[in-house]
Amino acid sequence: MEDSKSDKFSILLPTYNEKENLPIIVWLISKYMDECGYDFEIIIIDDGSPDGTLEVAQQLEKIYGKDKIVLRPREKKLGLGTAYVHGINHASGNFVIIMDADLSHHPKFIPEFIRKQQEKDFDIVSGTRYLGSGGVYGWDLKRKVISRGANLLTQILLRPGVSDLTGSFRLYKKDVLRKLVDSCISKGYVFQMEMIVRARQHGYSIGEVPISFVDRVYGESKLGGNEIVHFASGLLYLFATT
Amino acid sequence: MYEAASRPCENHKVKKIINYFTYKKNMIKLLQWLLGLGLFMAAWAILLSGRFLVKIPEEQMLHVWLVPVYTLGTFGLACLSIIMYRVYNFNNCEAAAEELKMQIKEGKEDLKKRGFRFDEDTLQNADL
Ligand SMILES: Nc1nc2c(ncn2[C@@H]2O[C@H](COP(=O)(O)OP(=O)(O)OP(=O)(O)O)[C@@H](O)[C@H]2O)c(=O)[nH]1
Ligand SMILES: [Mg+2]
Repeated sequence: MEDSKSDKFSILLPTYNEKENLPIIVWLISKYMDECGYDFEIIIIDDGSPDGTLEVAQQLEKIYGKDKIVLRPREKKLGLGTAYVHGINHASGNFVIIMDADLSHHPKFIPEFIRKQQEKDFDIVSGTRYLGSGGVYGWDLKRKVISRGANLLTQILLRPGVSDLTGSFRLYKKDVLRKLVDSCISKGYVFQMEMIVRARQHGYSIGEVPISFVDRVYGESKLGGNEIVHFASGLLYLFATT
Repeated sequence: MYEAASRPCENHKVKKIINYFTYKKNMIKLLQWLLGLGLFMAAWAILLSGRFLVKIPEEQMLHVWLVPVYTLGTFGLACLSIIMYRVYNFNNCEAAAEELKMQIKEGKEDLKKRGFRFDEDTLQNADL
């Protein structure tokens, strides 16, 4: 594609205590993007991680250069939603890719997202664990049942036309993302659900790419009763407002 | 690859009404369900009254009373089997995990060569 030469991809990495994961994910992103010859920048939004993630990020900035690694730290933990807004405001690309920095989202899928986007000029490309070759690693039976059950319930109640609503590995056209972020008010991963449901509401086109999700190796993972209550209330909110 | 299916296309008028409720009013999904529930209740009431359309013999009335229970039961069973099927067929990405492990090692070595300092805490985990 001729005009794809001028495309630039801004990859947003919100981090909180990811000092082990950050160097690896940056290394992987740069490896895959360079291999495919895509123009990109990595925007790291660290929320004052006590483990010294920022110091790691500064080292990476030295190695990869200020044009590739853009540091936009904030003083304290202000949450994921605002981290994205903060990141978008500093993104110079016409596409934005949002992913977790904990290595559960593998950068090898980014080129696939980009190819998918170009196929039909999609507004959004969403990674999915629930279709085709997509899947997970490191989940026990209980976690799988909860995940599949929650997903089916969501599909029945919201009929969103997208198979993975709670995943946050996605590519957006920048102006589309900005509009969506402005119209979403949820927090946490209900925010991811709301983004995609509102996207449908606005009539944006969405493509899907199967991804393998490898649960975090370093750092703490959380799936408690709290999360489930958070999910259920988010689902009800979307059910009653969209 | 896969594309998200677009909303099924009904005829124009229906589509217009649906669009109206999705865009201007925000109650759409809840409203749709209430509407569906209302239709179901109406049909059930007709059956129960036994006055319109169909005459149901007295000894079958118990089943008519139990229609909501049957419906919910069937629906629940369908959901359960779908979930079971999907859990069973949920891909285990062993290969992806293996690849990631290798790449973590590879990445660390390459980064060290380029002057990145991993602190001791991380070094202990290097062969994880
Ligand atoms: N800047 C910023 N980043 C955050 C914040 N909370 C989480 N993150 C980052 O957002 C990404 C996703 O967070 P996770 O903790 O992995 O959330 P999760 O994937 O739902 O849960 P687990 O991986 O199961 O723990 C990671 O890269 C985190 O470092 C925050 O308050 N601010
Ligand atoms: Mg995670």
